[in-house]
Amino acid sequence: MPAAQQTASRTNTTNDVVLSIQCAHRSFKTPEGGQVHALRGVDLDIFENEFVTLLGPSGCGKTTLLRCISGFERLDSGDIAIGGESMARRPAHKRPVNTVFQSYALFPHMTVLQNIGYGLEAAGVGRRERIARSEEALEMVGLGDMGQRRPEQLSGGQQQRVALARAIVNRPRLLLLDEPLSALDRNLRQQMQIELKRLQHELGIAFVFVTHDQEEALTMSDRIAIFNGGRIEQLASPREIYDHPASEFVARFIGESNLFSGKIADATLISSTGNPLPLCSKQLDLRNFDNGRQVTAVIRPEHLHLCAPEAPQAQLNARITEVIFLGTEYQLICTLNDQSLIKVRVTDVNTPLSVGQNIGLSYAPEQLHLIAGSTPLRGAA
Amino acid sequence: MIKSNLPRPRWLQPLMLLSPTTLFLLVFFCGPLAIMVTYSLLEPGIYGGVEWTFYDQNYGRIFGWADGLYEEFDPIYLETFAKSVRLALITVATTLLICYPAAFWISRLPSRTRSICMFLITLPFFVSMIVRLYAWLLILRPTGVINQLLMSLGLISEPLEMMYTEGAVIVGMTYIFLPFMFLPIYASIEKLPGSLIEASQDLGASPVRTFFRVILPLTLPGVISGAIIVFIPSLGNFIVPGLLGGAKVMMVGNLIEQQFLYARNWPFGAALSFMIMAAMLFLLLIYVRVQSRSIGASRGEGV
Ligand SMILES: Nc1ncnc2c1ncn2[C@@H]1O[C@H](COP(=O)(O)OP(=O)(O)OP(=O)(O)O)[C@@H](O)[C@H]1O
Ligand SMILES: [Mg+2]
Repeated sequence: MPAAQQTASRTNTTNDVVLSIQCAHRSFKTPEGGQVHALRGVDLDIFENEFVTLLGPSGCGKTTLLRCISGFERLDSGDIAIGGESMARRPAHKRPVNTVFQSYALFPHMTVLQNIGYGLEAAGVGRRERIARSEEALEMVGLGDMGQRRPEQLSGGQQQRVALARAIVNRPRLLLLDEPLSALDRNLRQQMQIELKRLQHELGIAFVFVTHDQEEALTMSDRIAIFNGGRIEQLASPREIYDHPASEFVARFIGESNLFSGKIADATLISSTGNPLPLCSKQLDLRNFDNGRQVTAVIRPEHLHLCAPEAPQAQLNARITEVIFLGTEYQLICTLNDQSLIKVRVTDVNTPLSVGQNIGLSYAPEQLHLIAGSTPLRGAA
Repeated sequence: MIKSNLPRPRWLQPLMLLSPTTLFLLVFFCGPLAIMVTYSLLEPGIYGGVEWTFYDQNYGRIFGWADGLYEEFDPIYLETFAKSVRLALITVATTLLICYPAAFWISRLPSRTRSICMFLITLPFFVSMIVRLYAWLLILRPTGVINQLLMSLGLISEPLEMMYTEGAVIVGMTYIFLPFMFLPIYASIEKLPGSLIEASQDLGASPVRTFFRVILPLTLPGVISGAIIVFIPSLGNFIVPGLLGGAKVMMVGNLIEQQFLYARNWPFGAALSFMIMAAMLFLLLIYVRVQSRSIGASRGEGV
């Protein structure tokens, strides 16, 4: 399996690279005497003005990577360069990055304005300009009249905005955000997502954003880096990741998916489901997949269509096991011949559907995305 | 809960304010204080004890309005008081300088090592203070460890005079009061979230700026508590100067001890004691004021 398939859809010259991480390794000793490999060979280039999301299961090394970038953690090997300059020997306080901490980390003994002006003060900006710029930043996050309050007099969402203002007021090359929205309720989260995007456009700062929430990642990012076990599994635009997952892990992690593994034979996939599944010959040619090759095919639930069980276009036969009403559509869980389950989306809510009913399923072969190899899914970590 | 509808007699109401805390303070704090103030305004009896007549000469001996006939003004009392304040302040400073970095360092250790360190810090409490001070005597005296070492190295030809100096008293008091300074400082450093220190660095503040703008202000309550609970017992201490200062370095505590135990002049001893008490009460009042104001500010009342 390719460790990191860099399918950068952007055509940037190297001058535009803000952050360049090469072969970053970092492991920790555990109290039990073992070792945890938090990062094992991460390569990542982030361009000017880009919104990149790090997405992955818990414990896969996202926070560790951010801490290495900001300088709170060192690398065992590899290099991190910001604006073309290696950061290996630079302490955290001399790096042109700012962080929005998950816990906000606002200084409790300072007012909101003093908090925001802290970075400017450290940079030696005069009092007048400092106050003016802090107020401007506060205005930007929509808290113009709260400058004199103390952090604990603000709601969680307001504190979050102050943390954001405190970071952007310094105009860093790169802004790191470690799950900044995870403490907010759903409505506030969505509102903040929109605002973060707006701010990023206005400021033209590159954002590196960590989240657990795939929906958040899909809606906000220019590119998403899918992390797994200290490696980047895939780095690509949300569309690319959804349509062409590079590995089984990515296919399962992003969106709902159905996976079949088997061997290729005459432009079909022979798998345990019984029926040979037709494949798109164009895709086979493009990827150089020959007969006999082990592959995993991914198909999204919305790309499967219902038909009568005996209909000529039916490529799979199944029995409905469960019908879930989702408001504008149904999700069906069906059992295939080999007892495996498959998910289907039905947008026509008027189709009569009942549990136990036999159905046929069809799809357009180009919707079936192929992944080389069929290694079973690695442990969820 | 059953509520009685009967009105309680009026005279009972003030008595209900007597919570256990109030009672405790009345019996063990206000009581002795009142006795002391009363005694300090009475005439000393000829063979010890007191005569129950009002007498302002006790304070006169200290502050200067003594009649010069039966009682004489002597500046030595005020001087000793000033010296005691100075030594207590130096003790506060030395314990602070040792404890702050130590507490910071220990708070960042792995949890196992940390609990061992905490145990070592509290260990001296299990041994009598007198025994521990005698150990210093063995270290500091002319034939003590330090002098013998320095002489055998050939650095000095005759023993240094270390016993019975202010230095010895400061060393002893610093040693005795270290844990009192350490614990409150440690508690406040422990509470300080590491993310605030990282945030400060992240915003470009150097370690020095981070210390003065973030770490120190947020641990100041611990420093102030530590300073007060070291200053108060240092000011009135008589055991350390008694053992390590001898007759050369006297503190107010020693004067009071002499008046009560040897001169048997209780009223004068009480007057000297009240001088210390007044200084401490004054300090505590300031402390409470500052505390309540900072609590008010953090609740948003002061903004
Ligand atoms: N200081 C440390 N000492 C020991 N192990 C550590 C340390 N920091 C991180 N780890 C380990 O490194 C791995 C990666 O941790 P990291 O915090 O980067 O995960 P994460 O992707 O941010 O997870 P989450 O989404 O839950 O925040 C974990 O297995 C964690 O236990
Ligand atoms: Mg994390």
